[in-house]
Amino acid sequence: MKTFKLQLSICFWLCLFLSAIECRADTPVFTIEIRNHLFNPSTLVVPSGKKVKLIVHNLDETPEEFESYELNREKIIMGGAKATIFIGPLDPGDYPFFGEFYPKTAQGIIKVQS
Amino acid sequence: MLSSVIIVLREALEAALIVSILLAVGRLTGLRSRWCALALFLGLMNSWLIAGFSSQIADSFDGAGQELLSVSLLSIIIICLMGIGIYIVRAMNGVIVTLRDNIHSTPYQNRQLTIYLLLIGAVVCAVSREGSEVWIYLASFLHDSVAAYPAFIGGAIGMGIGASLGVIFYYGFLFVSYQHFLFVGILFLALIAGGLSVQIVQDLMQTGFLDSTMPVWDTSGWVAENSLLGQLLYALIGYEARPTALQLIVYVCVVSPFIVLSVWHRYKKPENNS
Repeated sequence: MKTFKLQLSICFWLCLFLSAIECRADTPVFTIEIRNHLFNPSTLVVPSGKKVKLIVHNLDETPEEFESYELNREKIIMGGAKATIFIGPLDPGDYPFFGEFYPKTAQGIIKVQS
Repeated sequence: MLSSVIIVLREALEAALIVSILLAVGRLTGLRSRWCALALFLGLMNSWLIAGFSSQIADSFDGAGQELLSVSLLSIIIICLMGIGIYIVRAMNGVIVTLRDNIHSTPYQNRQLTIYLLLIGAVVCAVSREGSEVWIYLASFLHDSVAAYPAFIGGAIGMGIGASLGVIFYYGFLFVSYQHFLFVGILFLALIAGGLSVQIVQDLMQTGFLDSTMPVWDTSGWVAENSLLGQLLYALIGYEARPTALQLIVYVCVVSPFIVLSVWHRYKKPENNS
């Protein structure tokens, strides 16, 4: 019971904290669109060593799941919805991502450059 | 169709492993298995609910609703697994009498209720979490009658393969752990709980609440995450090819209580059992 109360209070403070966090001024923001099960742009260049905010806008009617093993991110984005995904800080290199629901067409790369 | 098999299989595998190990634990400690049917039913209902409200959930908490729900469900599973770990230790101590002894005193029934709730809780949360993603994926094909048929067939195949692997794991676990029930049982619970905790950290990093750091190592050259072995290891022990320091720390922190519990039981003075 004590553990549950602790978990509950942690959740409460977590929610409070999250709603208070605004986009920090120095966090670069990039937008990727999903249209016809394709990512646009399919290649994104982001700075290295910094936290980066990705906004994925699903313009299709059906949901898609943005997923990347290299970036360790996966998020379902409902049709017509926007999703925020934080990545980084990352070392320079190529980090592919794909749409899990339509993996053959929805593919892209995030190129991290210093 | 192949991609739908893989997508559904991945989700089904994670849930199937938890269900099969908890079923085996219940079986080895003399519990009846009927709790599983109720848990699966509730989990299914819950996963439909979550899938149905997925847009609202995703938009809540400044877009972090999906991750927060995932973190909550994972946390509940981990807490339930810890409770079940304690239950295993007490069962080995003979503190909890098994159903075979047919004792119906009130304290006994209360303990039974607790363990059934823990088992049901873990399975409901696991099935809700994995199931909702499957329904969201399959529901997206309702608009597209051409692609719907292979997608649903592929989904059914993936579910079947996942269930079969769960059955194999169930009997494998019974076979292995009958001799060393305590150690093997708690080990598996520990590894699964550790894997779930790694996912919690990943979800929180994704929302930006936790700061991500550079991976400590990269073993994708040895076992790629998207390979079959990688997926199996991911479901079983939470394998990450590029774990961050925080994920490693959390993994150790979650696995340690289980190890400590079993070692403590192994070396404590024997109680006077009736």
